[in-house]
Amino acid sequence: MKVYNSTGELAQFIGDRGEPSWFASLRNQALEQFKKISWPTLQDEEWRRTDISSFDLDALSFSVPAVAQPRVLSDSDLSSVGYAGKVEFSNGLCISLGLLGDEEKSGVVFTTLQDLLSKDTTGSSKVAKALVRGFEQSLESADNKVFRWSLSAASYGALVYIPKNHRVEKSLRITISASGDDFVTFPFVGVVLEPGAQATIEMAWEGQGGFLVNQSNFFSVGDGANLSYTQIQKTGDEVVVFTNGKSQVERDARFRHFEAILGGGFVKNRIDSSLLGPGSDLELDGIYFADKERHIDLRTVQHHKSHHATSNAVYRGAVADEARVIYQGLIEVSPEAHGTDAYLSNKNLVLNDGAKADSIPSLQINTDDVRCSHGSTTGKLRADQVFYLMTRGYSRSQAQETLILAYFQEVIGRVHESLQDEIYSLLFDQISGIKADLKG
Amino acid sequence: MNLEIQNLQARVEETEILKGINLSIKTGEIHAIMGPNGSGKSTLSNVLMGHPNYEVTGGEVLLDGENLLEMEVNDRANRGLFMAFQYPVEIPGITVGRFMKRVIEIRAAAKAELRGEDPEMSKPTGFVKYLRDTMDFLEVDQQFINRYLNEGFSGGEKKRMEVLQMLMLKPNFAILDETDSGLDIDALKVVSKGVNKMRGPEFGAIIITHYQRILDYIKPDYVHILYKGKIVTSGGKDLVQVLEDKGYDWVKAQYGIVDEEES
Ligand SMILES: Nc1ncnc2c1ncn2[C@@H]1O[C@H](COP(=O)(O)OP(=O)(O)O)[C@@H](O)[C@H]1O
Ligand SMILES: [Mg+2]
Repeated sequence: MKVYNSTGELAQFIGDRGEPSWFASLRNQALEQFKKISWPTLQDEEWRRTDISSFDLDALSFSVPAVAQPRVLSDSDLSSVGYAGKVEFSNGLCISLGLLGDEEKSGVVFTTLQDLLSKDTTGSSKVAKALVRGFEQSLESADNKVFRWSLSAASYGALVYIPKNHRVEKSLRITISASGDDFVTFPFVGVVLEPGAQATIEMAWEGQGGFLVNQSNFFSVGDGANLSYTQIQKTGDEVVVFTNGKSQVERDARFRHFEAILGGGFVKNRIDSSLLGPGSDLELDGIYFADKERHIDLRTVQHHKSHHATSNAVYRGAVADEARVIYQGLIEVSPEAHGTDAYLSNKNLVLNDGAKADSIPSLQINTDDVRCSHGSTTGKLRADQVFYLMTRGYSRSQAQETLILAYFQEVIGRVHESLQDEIYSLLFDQISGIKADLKG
Repeated sequence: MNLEIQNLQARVEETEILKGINLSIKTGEIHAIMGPNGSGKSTLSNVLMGHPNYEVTGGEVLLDGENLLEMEVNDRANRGLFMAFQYPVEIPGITVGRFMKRVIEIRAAAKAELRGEDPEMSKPTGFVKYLRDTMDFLEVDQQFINRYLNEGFSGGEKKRMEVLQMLMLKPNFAILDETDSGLDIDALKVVSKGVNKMRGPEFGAIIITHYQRILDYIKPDYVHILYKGKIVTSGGKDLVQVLEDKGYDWVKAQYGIVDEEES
């Protein structure tokens, strides 16, 4: 295993990797961009409520594990768990990987970043080209140092490529985990759907320890394609997470992005989505829960660059103890995007005094003939509902738990069916762990 | 079982509402409480169930000799007390089916615990059929099983949902707070059918109403008239007719009630 001790060693890290030049040059571009700016501060609008000054980000070490062959998952391994493909990373190392044989024959690529780089030295494959485009577009939208950092150092991750008009019926599952203290890890998820393709992807983050995750995701959804992506955050309370996602949704395409932030002690995520063609349809949904002294800051961007596109963001959170949650949602409508239909809704449940929720929706509309609206509410548990359930025999805590779950139910109903139970039970575990005396 | 209400006084936000209620109910009996709007009918119901907004300022309520007013709301429920709400709350996110199942499970566990048995072993069986049969009996469409509790229900549908819960839970004492209000005659008949089905030696009820209509279908054993937080008179079934014929003004005159100056 090779260890690098600071951001000052990024150039050396890139040099050591011996990657083909088509990819190394992207990293170097990201590194140049990284060096140009300083870490976000409370003066930056998006980071106004998330103070990272106490983290010494430059001094965090990162490492490249010795290469090992992942366990290959067979068709029957995959069928037994109901996935079309599955990949698992632990501490930066791919430990298992598999894709159904039929999918592979159809041209689906489900692989790791390392694997692609070792096989395509010239960058001429469709997947490589798509990766370059995705990387460049990500870099273009990477207006902060954290994002640029993740792009320059992205050292492992999953790549998904679905060829034209091909539909992958079962889900693809990506699991990433880490353990240990005082390091940063840089996973990458890149997804490309060619026109008319369809896929469902699940990504789960697990693990415990005082480490930092700096992840970047890229989604390209071609004309008429349909992508559903869900990320579930289930790491422990000491984990710090930064995720920057960028998506491009083309004509008549549909993209659903769902995040369930039910773990992590300090989370700052962003998903920035562009609607590039008429008829494109974007759905950005999420649930989040924070207790103790956790901090969750989520941002969504629905950027309408084309006319006649539709987008919707529905985020719902709850906060207890001394925790703080922030949701920032932006709907941006370019001058040419007439006929836009965009909606944004955020609700927060504040479970006790001392917990805090901020909701910051904003609209930037640069054309007429649009339908845009946003709504946000912050409330407490309702005493009349608690009373009602208690008259039916529920104890106070059963009533409160039930009402918190019910509050999330509508949004959980929007996630892909195969994941609803997993998310529900995670949420249940989180809620039953609330220490504070709840109001209501 | 018996429920003894003795000189019960209660207030809401500094206003005295109940001014000394005395009432004794045994299982097997149906009591009707009639009174005009604002007389304190819902306050009495809510105080009996333990609503946190109502403060008891005097008197006692005993359930088989035990101090009801010191019990948690759910303990009251698990010992057999039930209230059909005048205005049932909507709870989006919980389907009727899921809710009813949980209610039945919680009740089975609570009863097992009261008997000193292991509540874990008390899983009820045959729930789905029980729910479906009860819904059929009350002429409630089975599709309601998958709807969120009371969300978007009409007034009548909400009231049926209350009676459905009563039939499923089989309480020993039920308080029906204006369950008849706002119902058309068909709905009224269905609701009455529900209450009449419960009638028997193990069941007592307080039917709260300000119309006599429902009492044509559910014949009460006793009738009480509540006026400004006090029971001004009690009697048998015939009192319903007297009230119907003569109105609340007669009650006022008859029992020497003087309206206080509005301050
Ligand atoms: N939550 C409350 N806050 C203030 N006043 C209330 C509240 N609930 C009831 N009251 C008052 O108490 C009196 C009795 O109300 P209620 O018990 O609802 O009467 P009823 O059910 O007989 O119509 C009314 O004057 C009403 O305005
Ligand atoms: Mg009332």
